Amino acid sequence: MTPTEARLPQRNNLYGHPAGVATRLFAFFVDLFTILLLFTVGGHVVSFVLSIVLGSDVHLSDSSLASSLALLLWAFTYCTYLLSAYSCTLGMAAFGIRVVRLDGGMLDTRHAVVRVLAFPLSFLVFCVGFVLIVLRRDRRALHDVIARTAVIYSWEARSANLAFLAKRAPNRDRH
Amino acid sequence: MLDSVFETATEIVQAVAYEVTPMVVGALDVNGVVERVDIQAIVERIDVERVIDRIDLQLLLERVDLNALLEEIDLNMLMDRLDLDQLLARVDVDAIIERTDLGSIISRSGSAVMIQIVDGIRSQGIGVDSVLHGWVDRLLRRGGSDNHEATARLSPSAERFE
Repeated sequence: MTPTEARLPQRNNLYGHPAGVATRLFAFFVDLFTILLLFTVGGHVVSFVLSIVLGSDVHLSDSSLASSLALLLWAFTYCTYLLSAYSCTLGMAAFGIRVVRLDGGMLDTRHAVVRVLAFPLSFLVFCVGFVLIVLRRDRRALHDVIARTAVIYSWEARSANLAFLAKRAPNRDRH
Repeated sequence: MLDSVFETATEIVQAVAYEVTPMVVGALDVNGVVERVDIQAIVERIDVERVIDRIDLQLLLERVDLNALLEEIDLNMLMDRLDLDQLLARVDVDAIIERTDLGSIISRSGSAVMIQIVDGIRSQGIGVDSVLHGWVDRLLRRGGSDNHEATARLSPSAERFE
């Protein structure tokens, strides 16, 4: 055990291991909900402010192209900022997973941007990019492969709920 | 000769004393005598600390059977005699709550409940992951998923997010 390892807190046996497809899917849905909720609320706020400033009713939803572009821009900003600053989005944080570089380091802005830009590619051809999570032994999706990143479990199991998983994975105690 | 005279005289004196003493005591005003004694001055002259120093409290306590003493106490009777309503009325509950930092306790217990809920949800996610990937591994006839390079070499800098 190295001095660094000795300083690390005790974690469950899955800490630092590749996150599974279900957890990542749940996190994705939480992020999707958050992005849409914030966008909707933000859109109404902006519409309200513009209506007051311009003195006439403004409905941003009237322009579907502008709304779509704004939504894409907002989603890109949300994901890129959170990933580069915290290595995880809100959904990921909720489910205890985070994105790291292949060398195990923190995600920097460049990797975050590449990962977010490559993310839509995973939806192409019947979401084959996501199927890779199940098929690949390292559980990396297409956008992970492109951005040279990985998604790992990053939470301490405070409850005893994971005891059965720890017994199933005797060789997964490397951190 | 002298001895017999001396014994006879002694007997006479004793007989007189037996007869006279009760009369003298009866005639004495004991309360008056006690009132004239300055008890406060006597007490002040006693060096209480020195007296206490000479008492071996440890030895005294060892000789006291506290269990037997407690058994003899009728707590029910004691409680019956206590006017708890009056006692509680004198307690400043607001001051106690202010000193208790109740908000912090509620906050901590609330956080603990939230942690349990979040951990439960995460555990369920990991459980589903385990089942799904187990099925796929069996279908593809391979062992468990490998750790890739990132997971094998988590850098200490990554710990800042914990």
